[in-house]
Amino acid sequence: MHSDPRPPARRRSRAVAVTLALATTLFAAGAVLIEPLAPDTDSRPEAAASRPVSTTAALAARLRRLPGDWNTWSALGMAHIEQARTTGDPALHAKAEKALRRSLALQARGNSGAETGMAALAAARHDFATARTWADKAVTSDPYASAAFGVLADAHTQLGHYREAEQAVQKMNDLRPDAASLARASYVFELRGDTGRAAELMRRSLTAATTDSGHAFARACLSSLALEDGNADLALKEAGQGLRRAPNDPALLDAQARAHAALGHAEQALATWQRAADIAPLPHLLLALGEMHQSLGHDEEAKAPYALLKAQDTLRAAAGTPPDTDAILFEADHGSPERAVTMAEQALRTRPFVAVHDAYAWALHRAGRDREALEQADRALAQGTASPLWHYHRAAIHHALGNRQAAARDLDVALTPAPALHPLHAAQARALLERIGTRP
Amino acid sequence: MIRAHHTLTSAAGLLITACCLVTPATAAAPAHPLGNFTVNYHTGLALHPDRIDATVIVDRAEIAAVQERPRIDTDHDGTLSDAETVRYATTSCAVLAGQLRLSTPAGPARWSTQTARLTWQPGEAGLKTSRLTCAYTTAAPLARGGDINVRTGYDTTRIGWREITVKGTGLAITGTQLPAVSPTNELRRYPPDPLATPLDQRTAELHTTPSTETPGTTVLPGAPAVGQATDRIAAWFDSLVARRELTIPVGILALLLALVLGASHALLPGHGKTLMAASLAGRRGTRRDAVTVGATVTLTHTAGVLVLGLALPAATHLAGETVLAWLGTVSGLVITGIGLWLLTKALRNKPHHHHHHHHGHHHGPGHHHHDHDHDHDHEKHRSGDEAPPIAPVPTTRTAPSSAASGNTRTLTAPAPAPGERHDHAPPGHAHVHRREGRATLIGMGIAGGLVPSPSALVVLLGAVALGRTVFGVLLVLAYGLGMAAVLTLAGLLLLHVKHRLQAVSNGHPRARRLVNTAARVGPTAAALLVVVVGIGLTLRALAT
Repeated sequence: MHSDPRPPARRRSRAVAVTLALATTLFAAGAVLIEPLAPDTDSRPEAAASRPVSTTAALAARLRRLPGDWNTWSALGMAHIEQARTTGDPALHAKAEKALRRSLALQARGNSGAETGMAALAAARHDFATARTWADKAVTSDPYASAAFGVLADAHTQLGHYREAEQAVQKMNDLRPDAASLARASYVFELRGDTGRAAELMRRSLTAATTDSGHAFARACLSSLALEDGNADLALKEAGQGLRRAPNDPALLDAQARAHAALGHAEQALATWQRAADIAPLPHLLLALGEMHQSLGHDEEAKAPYALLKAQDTLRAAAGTPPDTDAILFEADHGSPERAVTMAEQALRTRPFVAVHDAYAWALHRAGRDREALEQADRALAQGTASPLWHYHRAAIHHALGNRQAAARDLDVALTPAPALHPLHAAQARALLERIGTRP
Repeated sequence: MIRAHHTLTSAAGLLITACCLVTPATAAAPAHPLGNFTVNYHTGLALHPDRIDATVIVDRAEIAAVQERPRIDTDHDGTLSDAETVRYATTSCAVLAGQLRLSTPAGPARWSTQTARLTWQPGEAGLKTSRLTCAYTTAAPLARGGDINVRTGYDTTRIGWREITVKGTGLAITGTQLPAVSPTNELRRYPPDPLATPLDQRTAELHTTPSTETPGTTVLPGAPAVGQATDRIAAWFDSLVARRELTIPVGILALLLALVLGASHALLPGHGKTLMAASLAGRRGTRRDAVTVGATVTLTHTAGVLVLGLALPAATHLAGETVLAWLGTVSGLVITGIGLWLLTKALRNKPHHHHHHHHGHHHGPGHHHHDHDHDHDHEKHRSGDEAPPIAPVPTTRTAPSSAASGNTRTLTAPAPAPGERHDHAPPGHAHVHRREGRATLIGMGIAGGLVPSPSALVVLLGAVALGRTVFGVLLVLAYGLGMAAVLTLAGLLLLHVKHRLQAVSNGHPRARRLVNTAARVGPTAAALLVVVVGIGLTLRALAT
């Protein structure tokens, strides 16, 4: 080749060098670009549910490198909401909102993930009208996002739109019959008072659960449903099985404590509630702990959880958010019934849900306004919900209004699954029944 | 680099509704930056040649502080007396001392408490946060260096921030990433941004070496100690390989990879582009032609990928495959059309070949003059009878060339080296060829680059999904360049082979005749080949 005066040996060595350089480039590029894909498995939402702290850390680490990745921003927001749910710490909502807003700033239109997150956040803050607006947006952005239908169903439920909620749950299950969808389907039946069907669906949710938190959730619900059915032994077993996998889950500890209380294991119940409250001082745990102490006559020990409840309500009031049912019931029973009525009215404005109607009814009853209380209690039970506590509440209202028969009927429902009531309320219910006299 | 982003957004663990008619109570203000329930720990270690000092600070947020009150208020009178506070601080610091485990060269550290203090800070909504400060010391012979293992066993049922800091006085610390200064100013200020997840540093391994510096100088960990240089290089490489962030080396490597990908894409079997460009560039025969094809392919391909890639997310109902099939058909038809045109031209201009060959031989004293005339004639011809802009017509050839040089013997003179000949090709001559050829070449290049390759599309969409659109565009450009490089190289290679054949044949009359025949048939064959390739591409696009 006269145009290439180099000797063949040199050309060959050059070819070898080029080949080697190319190979090196390819291997290096491969090592850089392909290898790091493996840790991605950590940041999947399944992991997000089971290890919220480390997952938010992983997502945050990723975002520090890729600040424009709006999907990860919405995933981070969602992980914060999930973490707030499991730890009960509402301060995490602010972080969740920042992350979700960031995602929306990066991708304003069609960002179904962030819209679902905003809906979930609003729901977690008990602003269900806003939750519904966001969920509608998310469903419009992605009509195949099952999670979006989940938050839409939650918002409808809490707003008292039970039919719309059922439709959303149906759609969610059609799209993706996973643990979250089945758990919501179970809740639909639980609200209607069909605990058998609810338990069946919750068991399917347990089978479908892929994460520790999904398992824990389903077990806690199954335990609770068993207790409502009057099967305290099964309730204890379900909670125990859940705790074997998630030993620090507050909801499971609560379920176990309630089962212990129902079986008359007062000390174990106290210890379990105490442990749950140590992990996450959630209002319903504190209320149950305090009332358990009270039912045993330990009024002094009840002070600590009640002080904690009051502190949380102080924070809540300072933030201007509507109160939860536990806070209303606590205020009605252990504080000022008039204030409880005001709180309930505030809560009802944004959340006309059956549980809030019940709390309102009880606050009104404690404030001596039994006629209004009965209307609210009837609304609370209008869906056919089989809650022993709500029936006990209505029985007390009926009794105060002088309707012994109706009171006895409700007490019958409340006490038939004998152990389902909290010991304090069960004692009060039995006392009430004695005062009424024989059953009709 | 592509992530299935729907897995991130689907949020399977979304169980916001609590069961059992109770929704989780989540109604409070964000008072503590890390949450009202958090319990946060700071462990500060100060290493001296003869001892280790430790400071443990426990910061309890509002609710956690309220929760701790019953443990302080031992007489249950609802107020915290000084005696109660002191007793609580002392016992708490004793417990923490047992949970801060250090193994030193002299064995496990046995802490003696120096101070134990509990203070309250105002928090949200009139509530308070608590701050427990414990200071310890222990004797440790570190003057000659040694390893230290730190394990903290504090109560971790609560989420919270857990940090460890370490600084050395009169000795150097290596082998640790621990900071010397607290990132939170000892739990007083937490990072406000949503990315700041609680730090969870619970254990650490340190190595101390005697300091060469005068005692009293603080050697911060991370200062360039001698042993750290290699560690750093290794760490740099680790981070390069392990991270997905876009550093300059990673970016360059990614670009190189895209280049290689594009090149291999152009080489894929069944890929008509290579064949097409090769036949074209070979027929036309200048390096610039080959480069033209390459540049056109790159530009068209990049533009095509960008348009399709950026339009696709906007109109998701428009399936990507449909668009690709359409573009494939269009590209195939364009190639077929060009091939047919080339074919007619080749058939019509058979004698032109001779002319072309002949010209190459005019290489001598009359060279310059001849060129000028020739060029001029061609221009006249083109503007004169408005014939299609094809190669020079034979009739215009003989007069000026013979008039200019009159040297017919040059016909038998050995041809100059092919490369040389083309380099020295008369500018006017090349100009005409290029002008009429360039349209063909650019058409071919456009046809060749019109169909965006799915892999390039995936690269772009992936980069967009990661929020790196600009980088994605760069990658696609690199991809196109790789493709173009292969196409151009193929053209140049063919050129080279052709010239070599010509050069070899010059010495052998029979071989030369063979080459001449081949050169005469060549354009026709190449045009036929282009037609075949075009039809093939069209059919394939239609079939999918």
